[in-house]
Amino acid sequence: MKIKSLLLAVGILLSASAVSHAQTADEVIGKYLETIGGTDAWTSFNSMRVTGKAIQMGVNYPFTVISMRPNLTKVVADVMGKEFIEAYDGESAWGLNPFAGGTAPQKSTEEESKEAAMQHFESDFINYRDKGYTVDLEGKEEIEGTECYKLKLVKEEGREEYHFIDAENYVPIMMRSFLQTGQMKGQAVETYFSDYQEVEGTGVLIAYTMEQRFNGQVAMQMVTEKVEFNPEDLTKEAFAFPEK
Amino acid sequence: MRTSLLTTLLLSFTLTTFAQSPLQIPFGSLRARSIGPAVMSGRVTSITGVNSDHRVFYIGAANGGVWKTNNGGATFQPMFDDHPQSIGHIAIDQAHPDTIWVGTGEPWVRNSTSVGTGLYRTTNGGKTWSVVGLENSERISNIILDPNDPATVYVAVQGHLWDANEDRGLYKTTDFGQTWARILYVDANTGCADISMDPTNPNVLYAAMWDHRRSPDFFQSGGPGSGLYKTTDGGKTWNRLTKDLPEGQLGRMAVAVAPSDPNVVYLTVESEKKEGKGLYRSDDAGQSWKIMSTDFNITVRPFYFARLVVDPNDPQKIYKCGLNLTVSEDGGKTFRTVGSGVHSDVHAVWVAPMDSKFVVTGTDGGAYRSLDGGTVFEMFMDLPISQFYHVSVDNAKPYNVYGGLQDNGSWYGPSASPGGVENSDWNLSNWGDGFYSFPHPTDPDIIYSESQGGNLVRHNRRDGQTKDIKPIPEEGEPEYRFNWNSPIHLSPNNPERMYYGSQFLFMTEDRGNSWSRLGPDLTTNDPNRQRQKKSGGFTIDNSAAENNTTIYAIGESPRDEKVIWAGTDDGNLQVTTDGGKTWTNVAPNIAGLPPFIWCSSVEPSHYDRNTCYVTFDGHRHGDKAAYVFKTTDLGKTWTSLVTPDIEGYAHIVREDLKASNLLFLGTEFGLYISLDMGLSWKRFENNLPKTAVMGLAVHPRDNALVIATHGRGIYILDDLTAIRQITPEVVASDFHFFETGPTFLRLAQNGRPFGGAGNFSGENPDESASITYYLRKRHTIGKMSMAVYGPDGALINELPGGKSAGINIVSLPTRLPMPKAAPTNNRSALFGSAFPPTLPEGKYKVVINKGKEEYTSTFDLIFDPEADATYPPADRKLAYQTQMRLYNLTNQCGYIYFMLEAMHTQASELQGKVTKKKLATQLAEFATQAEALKNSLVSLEGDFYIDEGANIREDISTLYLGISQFPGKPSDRQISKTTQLEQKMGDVQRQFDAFKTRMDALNVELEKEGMEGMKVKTLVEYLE
Repeated sequence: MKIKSLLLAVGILLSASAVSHAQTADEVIGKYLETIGGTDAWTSFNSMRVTGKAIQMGVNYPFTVISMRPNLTKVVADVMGKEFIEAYDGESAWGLNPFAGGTAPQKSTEEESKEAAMQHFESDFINYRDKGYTVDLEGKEEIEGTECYKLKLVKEEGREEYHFIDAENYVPIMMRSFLQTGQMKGQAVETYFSDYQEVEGTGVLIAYTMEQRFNGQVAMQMVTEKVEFNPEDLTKEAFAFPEK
Repeated sequence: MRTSLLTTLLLSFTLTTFAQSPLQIPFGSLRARSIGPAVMSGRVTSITGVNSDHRVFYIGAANGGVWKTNNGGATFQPMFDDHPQSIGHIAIDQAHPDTIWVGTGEPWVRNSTSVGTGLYRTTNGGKTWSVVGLENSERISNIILDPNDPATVYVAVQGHLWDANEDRGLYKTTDFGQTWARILYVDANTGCADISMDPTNPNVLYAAMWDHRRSPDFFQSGGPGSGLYKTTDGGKTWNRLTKDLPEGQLGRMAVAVAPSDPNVVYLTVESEKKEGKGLYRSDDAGQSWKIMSTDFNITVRPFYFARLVVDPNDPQKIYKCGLNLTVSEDGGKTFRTVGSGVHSDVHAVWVAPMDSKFVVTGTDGGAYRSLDGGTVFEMFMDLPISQFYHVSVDNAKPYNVYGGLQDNGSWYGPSASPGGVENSDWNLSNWGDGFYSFPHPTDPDIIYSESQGGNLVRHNRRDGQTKDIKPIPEEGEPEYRFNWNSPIHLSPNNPERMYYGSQFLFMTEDRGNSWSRLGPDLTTNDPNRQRQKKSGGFTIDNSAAENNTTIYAIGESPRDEKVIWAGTDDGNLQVTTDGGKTWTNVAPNIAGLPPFIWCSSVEPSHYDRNTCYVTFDGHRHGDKAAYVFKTTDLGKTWTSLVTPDIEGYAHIVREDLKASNLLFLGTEFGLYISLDMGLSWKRFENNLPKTAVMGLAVHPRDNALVIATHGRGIYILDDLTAIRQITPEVVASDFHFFETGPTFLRLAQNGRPFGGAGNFSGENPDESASITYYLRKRHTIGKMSMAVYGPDGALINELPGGKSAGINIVSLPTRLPMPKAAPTNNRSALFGSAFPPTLPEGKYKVVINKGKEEYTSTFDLIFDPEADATYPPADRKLAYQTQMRLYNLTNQCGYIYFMLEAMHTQASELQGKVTKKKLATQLAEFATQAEALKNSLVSLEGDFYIDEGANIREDISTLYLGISQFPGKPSDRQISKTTQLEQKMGDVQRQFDAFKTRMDALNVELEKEGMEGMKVKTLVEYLE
């Protein structure tokens, strides 16, 4: 289950302001942020709940992703009647994976917590300099037959991501990141975005379909059905590790 | 697989509507899959590891790119696929191990070697690469970083093999490759074949310069330019070292400073004088030398094996690459052969500095690891860097793929296999260097294969016997000259007819038992180009690799068996229209074709007797341009089909078997596809690395393109049906559904157990139903989704679909959605509810909604016709019905479980809120009883492994698991057990209905109290 990086992708779409000094990269980022509803709309959000269905190896299962500033996240999926969870409560990551033999929620390793803490509620492009990030516009590249701006984003510990912004529509259509751990360490993971639509009544645009590919093969798709911003019933407790 | 009506339609329009304006589309999700194999692997040129962690090392291949392991070789990942795959040398910045320099262009310059395009660098562990100069170097033999200053790098440029050029010698950068200085240069014929640095003083370097040249018929190793040089000031000044070394001209040398004692330097010398050849040792940093050994493995084939590696921790221990890997532990006095069952022809060795017993070596047949200092080696079975020359296919189901490989014989293996195409699926049909290998078109037992020197055999795979059927000169005939890679051609008109070429064209119609010669010598027969026996230079290298003035390509017209084409390796292109009695050399009619270059392929058209496509290859004359031509008048006039889109010299052109507008071209840098009869080309990149494509075969039944690479094994483009349907009209439309043939519901197969990591497993074809369409522009903004309806009109699945511009292939699973089952802690039961029944046969409807537009298509699902007789329709129907009964029971059980749970939850909450005590008691009782019934349905105790229980939910799923994978009739007891479970579930349903009645009654009381009653979903709502 590689939900985390898709979650990260959701986070990228949650964007606020991009105060920019560099030349063209910031222009591209500026236009992109404007396209998805503008910074004011996005900064008014503190939390978010996304529900939909994930499709993996031909199997559909419902998921819910909740997130809250600054970096709280929780993914819950119902896989074959069993609950699958990946979460970060602000201090540590935890999860429940019944397919890896888990019967009760377990805290993740320190490394995984560190990894999870790097996923910000807001887009990585917002105030990226304050976060110590750098962005370079590395020209244009064709993705899925579409001309794109290629933005290189360098994050914590030199981690690199490539974001491909559709030169006509000014929204990302693909993000390339790299696996940090495991047997496939260093392997590229590509996440494709489509079906950008306005979240009703909010004026903001998000990609309702995301598709994750390894080596050109579709590994998982996520179709968003409902997006709620600042849901009243969502509190910090929802992210907490359930102490028994 | 696809309808002949479709083919006819395609043909009718392709012949009329093409060839006016270029036609190109993004290939979108059309993707090639790799089937390896890695069993024989391929030539490895360079190995380098991280000094501080020898679990991390890199393997560079002759034409298979760069592979990285993080786990000591248990698994490898390719990391250079977008760039030319011929690797000369890899170097790591040991202080920053994510910075890696890759010099492209193999230095082991055999006749079939590829070419490089300069020096590349990554600073992020291979995520991205930049070209950092030396683009015209062609071959880089060594790279050494200054250990104290990572911006300073020395690069040994061996340079062009086939022509003189000045971009060679030793280069140095002090700014990470932004600028370069050529610090050692002899002349345009002399490259730098090896360098070595004093690890304690980076200003001290030794450089072995090598004067050499290849031509199509000759190899010259050695000449006046060769020599050993030393600098002590970082390359500002050089001294040529001659003292104690052989007088006269020299050839290729390897030089190595002992890392643990920089005064000790080893050198292998190729000299024009036999007595000078051997291993030399200096104990005073090159001032004086002593000859240590003249062993065969020291002096053998210097052009192929001149590399020495000194153990980083022991100045007396030296590894010498050669026909075998040999090692000396006494400073070069004596050598012993190491390696257990290691492939011959060793080119690379890496000894881990932290552990001298950890040794990795690279050969003509893959890479090996020793954990005991080189006594026992195990092979890495995960490196699909195999070097095919050609490929052919048979008509088995699944079809097999046949081909010969550089130094690795001839093999065949399946295009699909349960669990993946693995190393153990492949079979060897002939030893030696392999080239063409064909199955007999109608007798599946017979395989024709060849090896170097024109040795041709007929192999019977039934009993494993092989007959030599090479044509032998008759009395009075000249010696036959066979190309290294001699052409075999099977007639498209007569399954018993086969052609074979030396300088003469031979034909057999009795499986090689007798041959007739068709006409005279078809080559220039120029004696100046027949120097094989003297080839090699200072070391004779008479391996048949330089046989020239030979036939290299043969093709009989599929439209007329009397029309035969024969291309030669010295520039002739001969055609006959009378079955070989008379021949015309039509090469002079080709405007723009340089003389004497190789005709690399001929492709007589499948649609027109007078049409033929040809490729020519001039790289052995130093000309790396592509040459592709077409004639429509039997060679009188020619049109060039070359466009600036094509990169790399051309190996093969093939015409599609069903769409005449569709052409495939293999070059040194990949596969190119033309949709407009060669007016324009587009490189096919989707999962196909930038390696040489030497063989192509279109499968006549399965509509697949099989791609033989010379460095990355076999790739398959499974379904050509979409690109066969591309027309200008399609390209102009916003959206277009492609016609596809039926999808077969295949029999389920078992995978393979517990192989662990490290064994290559090739991808199988996608067996799901493919919905294929064209989008003119990528769909990014607004909603686009796809709905699939079954034969009964019911909605089966909703998918997001593909959004790419160009071709989109959406895989639709051929199973129903998973049932909504009750939970369980029983593994078999969980699996039983994870594999829903296969979709029924019939016609399915696809509706795509894209914005306001709606597009509709259909496809057919049919049971595998191959298995139809074994599992007749009545049995399949019974299986499906029984599966569906259990599937529905699973859903019903799940529904009742979750509704009882809802009743329990709601009643428990309400009982604390109501004021009437009696009602509270009734609610509490109701809650307890609902929960009891709920719990009786499932088994949640146990450990999900060895201590498991079973109730009705588990009984249903376990029975289902037993019948779900079998397409035929279930057993009587399985059917009667299904009926029993239905009866049991009927009881449960009645009990549940009683709960609903009680719930309704309680709700009346609750409403009287002004409270909202309990609610549960209907079964239909639950299943939505």
